[in-house]
Amino acid sequence: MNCTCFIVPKSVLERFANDKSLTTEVRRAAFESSLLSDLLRGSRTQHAAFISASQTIAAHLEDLAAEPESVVFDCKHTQTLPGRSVSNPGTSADPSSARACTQALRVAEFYQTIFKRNSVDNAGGTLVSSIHFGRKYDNAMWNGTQMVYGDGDNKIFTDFTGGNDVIGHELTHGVTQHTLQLGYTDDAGGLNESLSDCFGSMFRQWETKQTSQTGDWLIGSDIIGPTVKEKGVTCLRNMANPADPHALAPQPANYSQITPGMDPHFTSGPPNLAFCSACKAVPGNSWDTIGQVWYHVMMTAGAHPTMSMKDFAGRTRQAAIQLFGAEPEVASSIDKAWKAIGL
Amino acid sequence: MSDNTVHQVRIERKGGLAGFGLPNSRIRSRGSVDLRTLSPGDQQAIESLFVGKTPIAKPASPVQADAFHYHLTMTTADGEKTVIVPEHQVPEAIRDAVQDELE
Repeated sequence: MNCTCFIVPKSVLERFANDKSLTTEVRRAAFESSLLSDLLRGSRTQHAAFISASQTIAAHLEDLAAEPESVVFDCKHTQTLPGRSVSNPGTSADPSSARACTQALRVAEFYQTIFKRNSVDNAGGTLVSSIHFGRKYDNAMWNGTQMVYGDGDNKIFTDFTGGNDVIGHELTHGVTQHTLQLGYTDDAGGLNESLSDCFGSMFRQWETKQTSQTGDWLIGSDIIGPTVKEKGVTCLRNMANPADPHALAPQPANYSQITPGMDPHFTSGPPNLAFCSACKAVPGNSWDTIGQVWYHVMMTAGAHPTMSMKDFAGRTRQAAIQLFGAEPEVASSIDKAWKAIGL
Repeated sequence: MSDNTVHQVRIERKGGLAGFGLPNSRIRSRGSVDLRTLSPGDQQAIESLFVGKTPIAKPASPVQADAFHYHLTMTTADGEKTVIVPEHQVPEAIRDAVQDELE
């Protein structure tokens, strides 16, 4: 089903539908749009409720598919979702399509290989990406059911499908939605963003065969545009140094700097640093130990829309002992990392 | 206060994957629009947000991660007022009025 983001409020549509000075055709269109708007909002709410219920009562259901498909839609520079279907997107002449398609599958392969997870929903669900969203749109997002990528303005940003950590970041929002179901405000919002940065970075390191020690822990370095590069900016965020002045949006490095109401892309700084520090303290790959601990908490804590960072930190400490009891350096690295950021 | 001021809507787009407009952010997305240049439908849509006739969409469920939100500021009968609106509720003419800038 093509899904349109409605920008005309229902009350305005209803007013037009009842305005006798307008033609019958216009009034009918307004009336039908109002009905469709309600149906679309209702379906999104139902979808969210289904996801929430399925996490608790349907975990035993079989996978929908052994492995996911990756489909791509072209928004043709509009903001209508999902856009027009792209045939054979993985081999498309459009590099945005090819990247969105193949990298989404690579992220799924990462989750399957490392965490035994079958797609975003752990049931082989299809990975949906929309490209060329808007005009010179300097953003990418997960809208609750799919990934959406802008082309960038080629000054501040280049095409957002060009960053494999960006694709890993967005897809991980889906994983979070199907596991912890974190909200997007306060501590939970910061954790939500942090998990996407953590798994996006792990994916990037896995793809490039980097260890925790050789990875750069920069988010979005591949999509920084020429105008920004000239000013010495190297990334969106730096997980190893949240306050890095070379980041486009430096972050706090300690939990004490976070107050309610802050944007999740700001408050993800301290948990990002905790994850990065813990990984760097344990020789080897980020996904072999610390990544397993983080994923274990995502899979076992249940739905926690308002989870605090303190709660998450405590659960990782417990999980480290449970999973890596024979390797005490894992638990001690995690404990030390959280304490260093104030938790 | 000039007549032009009353009809001006100042716009700042914040958030997104890159963190536009955050406390230490070097990127901002700002603009303004004269309400009188908008279509009647868009004018009404914006004015309805400010006078409370149209409720501002609550945070989406499920979460729309990395989406932008718009801070719209206008002079109303009760003085200057700012409303924060998710991107999907903002008319295209408003979205098109912002310019992304590096500071």
